[in-house]
Amino acid sequence: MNKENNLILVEKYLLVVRRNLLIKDKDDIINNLYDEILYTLNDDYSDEHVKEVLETLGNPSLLAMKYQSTDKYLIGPQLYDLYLYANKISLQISSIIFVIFTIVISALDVYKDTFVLSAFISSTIVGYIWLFGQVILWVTIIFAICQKTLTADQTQEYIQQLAKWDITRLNTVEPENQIKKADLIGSLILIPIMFLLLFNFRHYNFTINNESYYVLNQSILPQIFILFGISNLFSFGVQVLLLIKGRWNTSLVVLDLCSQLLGIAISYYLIFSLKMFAFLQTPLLSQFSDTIYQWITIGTIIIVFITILISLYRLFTVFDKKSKMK
Amino acid sequence: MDNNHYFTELKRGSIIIAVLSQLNAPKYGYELVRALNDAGYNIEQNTLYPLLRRLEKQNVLQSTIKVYESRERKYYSLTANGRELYAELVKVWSETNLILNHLIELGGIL
Repeated sequence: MNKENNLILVEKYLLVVRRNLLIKDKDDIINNLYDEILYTLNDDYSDEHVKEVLETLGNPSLLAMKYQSTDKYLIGPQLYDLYLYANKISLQISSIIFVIFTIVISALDVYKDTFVLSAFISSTIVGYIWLFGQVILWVTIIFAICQKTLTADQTQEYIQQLAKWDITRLNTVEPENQIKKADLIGSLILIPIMFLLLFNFRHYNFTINNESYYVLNQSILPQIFILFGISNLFSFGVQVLLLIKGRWNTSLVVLDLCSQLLGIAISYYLIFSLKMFAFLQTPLLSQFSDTIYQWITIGTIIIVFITILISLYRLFTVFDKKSKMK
Repeated sequence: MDNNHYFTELKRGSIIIAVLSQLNAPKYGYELVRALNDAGYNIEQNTLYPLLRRLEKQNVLQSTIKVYESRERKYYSLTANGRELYAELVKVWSETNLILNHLIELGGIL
């Protein structure tokens, strides 16, 4: 195994230390700590030795706490790790509730005359931003109160609990440039399912006022399957490659971005130029088709923007990691 | 009986002199820890860092960021104030040392 593979545990350890440092000069501290670990490892990068060295350093949260001075904090080093965790969990739970709530509301309102798609989307976005702010605000207030009322004995007790640290806890830490396997497996299952569903329902039609309408534009079915086939095959290949490699590097980020942009471009071309969705031409929906197409365009632009941003972030973490691990 | 906190207490006052003594030329954090440890003065990075930050705030030390092997490092060195302080601390330390040695001899316990 190469040095980089053996140092994954060190990288995870440093990531937890960094996350718990509430001071400036984080990079400098992490660089020096990395130097110290490398020096102590003394060119022996075996799993056992790496674990032994990290166990000697102890709980990374506790180590980060030792680097802090005795300055006053709104949320101190003793509670900071827990504070991050509480924020993460609260945001996840509230997001799930928000999504369910939004689906229920939209299902109830969509048939009303007063329903305006653009107003609904904007109020959902604003609502989520408001919820995000509220969750962080209330978690912060609760932790600030806890911090204020924390006695010296409680702090000591908490530190003693932190000291009982087990290195296996690092297994749950994901390095910054690790590819999430759950996402990949999800995509690998979803891509063929979507394709098969599209294929099976290619002739699906429905009847309104004794008139039959197809969901898909029947005159361009070959184009739909050829183009989606190319896009899905490419995307599937990229996902398999990502699963094999396990960690982001520059080529994988570029390849993944290309596959996603290709998928978006093909979908956009089929929807707009080839009018793939025949059901948008039904009398019921044709009156909204301009608005729907307008929102699909806006949605596409937002998706492209987010996709590029995510790729840039991944590139940044790849370069950042490269510079740290030299 | 755990005597460690007595030793820690005794050592605490001397840390500043030990650190300043090694900063005639700029050094980065871990380099400084190594220099001190190699000389037999054991100190951990997490003890040194808050001290370095405090001394920098008090204008005893100054720092510059330099890139070494593609990684940024913060190098600390003495300011003019730091050099003056160091000279005074060493003077007080020497005097205290003489007095303490004299007292230990006078006490005759050891």
